[in-house]
Amino acid sequence: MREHKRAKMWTTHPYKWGQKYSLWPIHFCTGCGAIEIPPTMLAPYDASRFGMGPMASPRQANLLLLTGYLTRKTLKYVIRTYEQMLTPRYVISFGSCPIDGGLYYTSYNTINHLEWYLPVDVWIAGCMPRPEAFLMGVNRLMEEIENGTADGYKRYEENIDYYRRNQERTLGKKFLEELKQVEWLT
Amino acid sequence: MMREQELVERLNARFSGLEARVQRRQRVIVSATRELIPSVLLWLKEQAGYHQLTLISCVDWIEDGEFELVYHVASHASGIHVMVKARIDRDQPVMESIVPIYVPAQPYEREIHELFGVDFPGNPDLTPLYLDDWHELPPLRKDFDTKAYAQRTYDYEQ
Amino acid sequence: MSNRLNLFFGPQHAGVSGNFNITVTLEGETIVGARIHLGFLHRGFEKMLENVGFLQGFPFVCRINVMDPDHNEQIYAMAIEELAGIEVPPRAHYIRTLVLEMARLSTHLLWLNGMAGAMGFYTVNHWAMLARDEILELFSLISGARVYHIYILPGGVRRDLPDGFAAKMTAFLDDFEQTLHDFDVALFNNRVFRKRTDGVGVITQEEALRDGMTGANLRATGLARDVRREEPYAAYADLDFEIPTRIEGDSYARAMVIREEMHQSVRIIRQVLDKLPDGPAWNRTPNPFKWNIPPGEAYVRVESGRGELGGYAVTDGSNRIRRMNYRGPSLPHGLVVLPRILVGMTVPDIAHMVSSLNISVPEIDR
Repeated sequence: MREHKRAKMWTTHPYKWGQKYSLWPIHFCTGCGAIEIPPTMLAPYDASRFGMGPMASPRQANLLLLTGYLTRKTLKYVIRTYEQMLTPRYVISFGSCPIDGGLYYTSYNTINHLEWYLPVDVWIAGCMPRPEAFLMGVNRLMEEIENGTADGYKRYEENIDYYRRNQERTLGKKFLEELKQVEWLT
Repeated sequence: MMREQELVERLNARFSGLEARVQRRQRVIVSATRELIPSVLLWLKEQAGYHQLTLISCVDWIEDGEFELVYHVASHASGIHVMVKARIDRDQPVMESIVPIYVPAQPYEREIHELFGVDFPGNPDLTPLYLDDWHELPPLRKDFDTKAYAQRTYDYEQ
Repeated sequence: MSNRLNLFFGPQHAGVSGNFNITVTLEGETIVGARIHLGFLHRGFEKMLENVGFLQGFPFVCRINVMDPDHNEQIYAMAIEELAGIEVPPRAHYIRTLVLEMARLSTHLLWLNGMAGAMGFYTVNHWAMLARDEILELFSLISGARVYHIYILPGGVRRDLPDGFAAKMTAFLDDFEQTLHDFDVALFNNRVFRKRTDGVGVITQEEALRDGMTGANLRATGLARDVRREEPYAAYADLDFEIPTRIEGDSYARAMVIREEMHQSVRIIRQVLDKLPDGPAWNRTPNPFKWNIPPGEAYVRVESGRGELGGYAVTDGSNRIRRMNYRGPSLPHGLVVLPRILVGMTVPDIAHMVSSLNISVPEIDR
């Protein structure tokens, strides 16, 4: 019965099968959570058996892994990177800091709510999460892709005013003007 | 303790206007005035062999209206770590740059300029090191409230 | 018309240094100028530490340098112990030494991951991560967490070693000596590695002293200086170990110094397990809600994986620390030495030099 369902999915939605088994994260580690990425990608947890392999260019990647806190400077780069990625693109946030600031919620240089600036598909809590938690998060994203509910990129386009308002309030007008030089590819 | 005591005696004899004392084993504290700092550091480096500038710290004594700059120098041969301190005015904080004496002073002075607002004339590059577009008080001053700033900028009502 | 080009070597770091940006000015293929931009990892620790109590500061300080967190805890604990006059029992000193040497091994393996990866030796990359992961599992046996332990506290350590730990540690060390031999065969004695690192990035002893270098980078220029010998802390005064030194001052010398340090760490851990004294693992500290430390100042230092890690602490009689200034050893390496040494090199050498000088940006940015 399960094989029949899988065969049906392969004939009706082959692109979903392709998308979920080739999540290529962009090689950009933002905060201290980045220290658990090498054990996950390389030995011993080996994320490449899930089809994940780091990519250097945002145009070739479809997964943005935000590992840990984001400072204001990093957020500017991350937004630019996210907008250069081709759709469908997904965001996994790793750690407690993007959820509500984590340990650094009183810091003058780290943002507290990533959801206000970028759409997030999967949250992984912990400080810091174990590699197994990260792989569980990746599996959850794969399920959401299969169900069709991983639509962060659609939310971004539909609610772009909300996101731009927050980006301007925290990062300043100058950042938005510089951002307009990046071409939108949808 | 012999070498620490010897260093203290040499410093007290050589300079008037400073007070050197042994804090504990391998630690000597020198309380000097702002104007004496470059000559004391030059003497320590050239005459006493204190070749390493370990750190420059700044402490905000807001109740006294002063900043305290602490220059940490160390010697490989003796293993002694010396802290040369001086207080400067908090409203117009200026201190002569010691980059001509110790090369690694440059990033430390740049950092203190950004985080406390102290000016170091003579330092070749005092552009901001960590923060960009920063229009508030220098963040490590005691009158900058980081929690209030974080709530205003990153936690505002949606 | 000149061929100058500004290349923005962005915050995506090559290797495992941390996010920072090197803007290099290229003329053709040769670098003629380099400028470092930081601040991508600046969290304002020193400000946050002033707003919390003394014990509450410990979850913060281990996060200052993610690659080598235990030395940061040791600094804060030593500073508070010196300012408050707290004694540490001998067993706690030995357990602290064990944890610090495990941290040194794990940060050297992370360096190996970055160095080998920056040069294309991807097998050694994987082996180093595997060995480091075994150390992280041993850490989670001691302290409950893989990366951030919050284990070294003022007065001793948070809890005693679990039963059966010595056997597991000894089994790991026996395996690891074979792994070190594998690294020698695959990387350190490899002709390609030697060709890429011999004579590259030479730093003389005068330049190293002038620029404020410490740690393995200074030992590779011929000066045998180590804080563990100069000002022994924890249990290092009772232990027998060597300070590996080389005289060439190039990238290969720095790599070999770090490789020898891994060997010495194994030796130290074995001695600690043999000589571990009995007794309590911590001394009581005052009620954290009512703990005021009299006014004073202290500078404490340890030898972390990268050099002299120092902390200058000032108290003023209240229940908060007045100022805690961390001295990360990578600051002179990254901001003074790196822009100078890159001039005259080519673009592939940027990742090589960042890994070779063992620069860790979180401890520059704090």
